Amino acid sequence: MPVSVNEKDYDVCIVGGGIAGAILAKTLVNAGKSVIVLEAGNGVTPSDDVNGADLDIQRDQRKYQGYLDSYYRAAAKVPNAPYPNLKVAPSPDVLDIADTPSTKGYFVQMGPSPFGSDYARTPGGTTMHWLGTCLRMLPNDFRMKSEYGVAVDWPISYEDLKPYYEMAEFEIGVSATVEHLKYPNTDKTTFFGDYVYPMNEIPTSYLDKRIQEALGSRMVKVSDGKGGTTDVAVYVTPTPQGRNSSPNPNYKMGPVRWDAKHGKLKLDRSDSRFKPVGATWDAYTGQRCEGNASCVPICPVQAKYNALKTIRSVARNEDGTLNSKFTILYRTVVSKVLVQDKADANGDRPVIGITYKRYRGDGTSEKILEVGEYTIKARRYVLAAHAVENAKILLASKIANTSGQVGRNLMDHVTLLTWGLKDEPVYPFRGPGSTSNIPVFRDGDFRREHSGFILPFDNWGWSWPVFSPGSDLDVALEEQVFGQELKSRLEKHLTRQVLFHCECEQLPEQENRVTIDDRYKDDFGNYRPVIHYQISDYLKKAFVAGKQISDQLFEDAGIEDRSTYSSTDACYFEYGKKGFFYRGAGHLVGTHRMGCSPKDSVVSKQQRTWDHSNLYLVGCGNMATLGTSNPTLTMAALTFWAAENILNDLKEVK
Amino acid sequence: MLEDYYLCVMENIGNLDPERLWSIAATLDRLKKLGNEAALAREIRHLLFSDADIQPISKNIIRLWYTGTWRMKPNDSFSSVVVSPEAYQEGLIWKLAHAHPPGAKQPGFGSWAEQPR
Repeated sequence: MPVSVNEKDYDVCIVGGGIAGAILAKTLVNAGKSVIVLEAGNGVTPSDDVNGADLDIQRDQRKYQGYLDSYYRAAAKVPNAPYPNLKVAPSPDVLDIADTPSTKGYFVQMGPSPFGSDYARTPGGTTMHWLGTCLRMLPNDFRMKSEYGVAVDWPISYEDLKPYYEMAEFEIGVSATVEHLKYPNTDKTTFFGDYVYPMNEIPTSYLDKRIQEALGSRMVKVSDGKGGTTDVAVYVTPTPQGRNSSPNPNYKMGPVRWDAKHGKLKLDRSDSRFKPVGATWDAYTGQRCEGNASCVPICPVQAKYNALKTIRSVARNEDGTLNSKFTILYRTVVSKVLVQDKADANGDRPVIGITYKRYRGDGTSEKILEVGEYTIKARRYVLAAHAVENAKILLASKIANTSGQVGRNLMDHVTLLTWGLKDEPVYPFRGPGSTSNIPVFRDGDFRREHSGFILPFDNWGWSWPVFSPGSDLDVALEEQVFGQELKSRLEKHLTRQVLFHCECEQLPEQENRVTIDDRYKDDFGNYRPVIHYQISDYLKKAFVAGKQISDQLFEDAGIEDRSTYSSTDACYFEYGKKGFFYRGAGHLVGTHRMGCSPKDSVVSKQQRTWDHSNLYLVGCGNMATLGTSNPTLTMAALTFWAAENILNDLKEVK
Repeated sequence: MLEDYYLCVMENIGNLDPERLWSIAATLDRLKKLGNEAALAREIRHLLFSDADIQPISKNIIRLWYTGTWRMKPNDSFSSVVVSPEAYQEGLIWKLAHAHPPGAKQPGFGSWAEQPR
């Protein structure tokens, strides 16, 4: 296949059209830079020659309705159910998780434990199916080594990241009420200052309130990190969410502007009220959450943020014309980053181009319709393809890996599910997936001994652990229950289902890693991720602690524990005398971490690779540790920070 | 909807003679009209849940009503298919839960904060 060169002149080439790529593109274009985004998934426009973006509103809506239709038709409504799994750029699927070693699906799972999470390779990326939880990391999450003697410290602090969190919360559109939020070991006057969120909090569920009332103020025992225990008071707090509610009239910020003189990004002061961003096909649809209760995997009205909104807002100027500074190429799968053969006088080997292949059609057909292979040049290059995909591209290109850390330190929130039946109806299966959480175990001296964890209440019954309500019907049918008896049994059962989950922080470990292997490639000739993964004792101890705490809370709240962990589950383990299974949370981080030294990290705190002066990485792969918050908000904040660094870097290019 | 259900049954009963289903339906219908609940329940157990050929179909028809799905292999819960988006949305199970089919018939902002009516 001949390689053609895209001769157009771009300031920045970004690989990946998910939230990181979209935020970066928007920030750079608004600062006057020309940007091209290469996206593996297929966009709305059927033509291969896409320039500008997919802006045909009818086609956009039809495509999204197609996702919704796939969701309705899927028997197992898992996170990737609505979105096409491409032959040319496959996505992992949680239904493929099996005993290891396993080559089922996209991942090659070498084990010993299966990796439990997925992501979506589609325009908008995994924000298409994320829940939208927008918690900031806690100050101690950035200094695990110095506070608790485990893992590593970040090269930046909470204070450093705070202004960029505010930018991320503006772009995503986060709903929360500061006065109601409470976190352990956190001084709210420094954590928030006089900040308010763009929109008021999403109402917490009836279920949340019934459980919170029943719990009262409970004390539970946790490890004190020195071999003993200490008592802590349990409290419940609402969860900040990237879904539209009512604008807060006291919010006076936005949009993000580049202040070239000072070399800083800034959230402007604004006199107009925050405008919730509706659906990409109709600004008046999705301006407020409508309670579809299907946020994962799809919000039918796009009241939940997804990165298509950011892409649309950069692609089109306010007067409706196309933004000539912005280009997105769909159906464009990057295989390799090319670097200069020989190091220059500074020891630098800059990137000289990116190689990609394009395809026609929707990418799902058995016969792959390849258009050609190309290279593209730009002044700066950014990989924003997802933690696992970024690592894969770097490994395939044999670059950026002086530290040997590329692909290593793969982390996720390893999740303990506990479920039971409340002594009264609490009416789950309504509202956003989760609206409240117990934050008490996110931080404390116990982190010397075991993982910190957040404990959200779930609003969707037992759907996660056992596929309710379908499975409840199946159990009744096995027992030949029918008629009125079946109806009353299901009603009694389904209205009382309660699920808690403990999302436990996995620490960076060298052997939890993504690798590549010539034996395992996808149908487009690119590598499949080969994953090595295990669950440490540090995590297993958190499962034991989490289950004990959950048992106490269930007892207090009148919830009969119905958790069972089958030993035939691929994710089953025993610790002490207890058996558990774990689930992934879809929070894949750490595969190209930032640090203070090229010896043990892939990118500097500026998010630039140590090895190649014109190559930046963005996305959750840069995170040095995971903390106990869903990582998207932190990653979005880091992306604004990366954009600022790139803009300062480009000042020298004239 | 009715057509979706009917076609689904006809496509998936294999070699079974549909006449057997119609005659069972007629028998049960007669009992229901007589108002003898105990006899009706006994016959449902006997005719619909005891026969090895009929039982998986009976269960699947109940699944159609409640969740809009049909299980292709009787002992494999992952072999279920959704008959149509409408059948999913009209599943009775969501009414019993005092909820709504996720992704459809949304009850509006903040509805989840209140006890359902």
